[in-house]
Amino acid sequence: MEKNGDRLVFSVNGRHLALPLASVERVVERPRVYFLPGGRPPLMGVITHMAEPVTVIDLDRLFGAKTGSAAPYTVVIARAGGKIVGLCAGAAGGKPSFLWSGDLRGAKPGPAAGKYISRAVELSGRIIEELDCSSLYDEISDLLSRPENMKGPAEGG
Amino acid sequence: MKVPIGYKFIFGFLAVVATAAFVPGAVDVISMPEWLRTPLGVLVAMVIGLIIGAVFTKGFTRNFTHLTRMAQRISRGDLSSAETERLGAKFFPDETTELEEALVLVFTDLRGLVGHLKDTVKKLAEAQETLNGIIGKGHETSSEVAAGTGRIFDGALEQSRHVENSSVMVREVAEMADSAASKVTDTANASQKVNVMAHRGATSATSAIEKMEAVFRGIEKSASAATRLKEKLGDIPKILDVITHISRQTDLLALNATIEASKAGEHGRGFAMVAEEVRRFADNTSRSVEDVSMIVRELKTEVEHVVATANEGTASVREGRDDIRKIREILGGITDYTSDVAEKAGVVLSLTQKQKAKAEKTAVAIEEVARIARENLSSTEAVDRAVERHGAAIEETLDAAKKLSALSDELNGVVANFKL
Repeated sequence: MEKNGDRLVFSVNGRHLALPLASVERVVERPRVYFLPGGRPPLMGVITHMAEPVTVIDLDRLFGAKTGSAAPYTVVIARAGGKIVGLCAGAAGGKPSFLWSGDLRGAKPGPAAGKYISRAVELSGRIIEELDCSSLYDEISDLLSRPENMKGPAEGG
Repeated sequence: MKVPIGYKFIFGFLAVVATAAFVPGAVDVISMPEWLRTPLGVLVAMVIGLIIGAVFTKGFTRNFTHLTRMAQRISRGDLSSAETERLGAKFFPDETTELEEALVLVFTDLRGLVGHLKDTVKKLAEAQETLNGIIGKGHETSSEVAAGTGRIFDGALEQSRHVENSSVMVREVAEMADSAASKVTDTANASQKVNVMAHRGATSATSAIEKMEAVFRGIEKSASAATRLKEKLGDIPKILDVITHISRQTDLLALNATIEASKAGEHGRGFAMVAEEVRRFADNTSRSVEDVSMIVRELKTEVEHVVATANEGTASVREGRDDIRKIREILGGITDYTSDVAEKAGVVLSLTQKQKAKAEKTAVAIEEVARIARENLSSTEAVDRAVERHGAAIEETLDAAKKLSALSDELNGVVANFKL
């Protein structure tokens, strides 16, 4: 985690997930997320941002919550390199908060990183895990490219 | 012509003497031996004297024999046919003739007396039988009277007890009547008070009804106002939705502004703080909207409750108006009724006082009856004693009747000895 970078923090299924503000392009609210053929949870669907389609993934489902987000959907559009992905954490995450770089000076290294997590720190007793947008995008790509997903939702069961 | 017996004896004696004197001379007239003349003269004189003496004697003894036979018949009680055996007429009646007449009179009187006595004995026997029957009936009647007297005594005793009980009950009734009169007086007074209070109540109720009419109108206006308030409250959530939407958009805008300010580095730090303030403001707005929304929901619930209550109140008002009309009618009826009750209570009071006076008189009369019953009881006891004495007298009469019957039988036996 970069020491001077500010973070946008979500609470998802009891976990605190952080995203570098530099990678956050916009936080938008949409009344609905359009269904994407082959899309299955945690893949929610697709929205448009600045005339560009953005695939949205449900962080609640991704991190083990039994229920997904509900409308209106608050989607954080993140960009890593040339990859753009929408992260929706509307069900239990509440409103995102900020973690400023100054606040991270007293952070201690956290436990080992897990899937979709690039690193973790411990701050004031909280474990803050930083999301790896590239791996999320790869996951989306993987989900969409699976042969069973190509048959459509009715055939995939 | 009556010639006493003594004269007849003297005449007979003289005839005998004459015979004795003159017969021997007559014999001398007759031619017979001398020596024969004296004995023959004595003999003729004795014969003639005997004949004359016999004639006189027979004349005397015949009468005495006849009289003796009559007396013997009388003594035997044979009183039949006295006239047929009379001596017959005499040329020279004497004492025997008078004695015969006296015996005939005795015979006749005795015959009549015995006949009368027989009739009397017969009647006495009949009377005795009748008396025995009467005494028997009297005895039975006395027994029945004694039994009846006993029952009367028992009845009188029971009557006395009942009268005593009745006296006690009548005294209690009199006391109850007194108590009832007192209570009826209280009731009459209470009825008057109730009547006055009912009239006051009717007046107050009429006033209350008019005020309730005003209340009903107020309730109807309140119901209408509550309905309008409910309609107006229905608009508030739409406004809150707009505010919420604006707040969320503001929050989102502030969030993005913060992100952009962060990307601007140190130059954007102040803007980020302002954006954060805006976000908190939006957040506060959102919470306030939620609070307002919650309050509006509660208010809506309350208003709906008020509307429902008002609607129910309106329905109740309609029913209440009907009830009020009925209450007015009932109050009118109640005031009429209480007036009627007060009037009747006065009548009842008057009747109760009369009843009390009658009960007291009845108690006095029952006391008098009780006194008479006690006297009757005493009289019944006296009658019982008299009946006992009467029974004893009947027993004595019965004994006397038995004795009389025995005497009658005995007399009958005596009289039976006489033949008529």
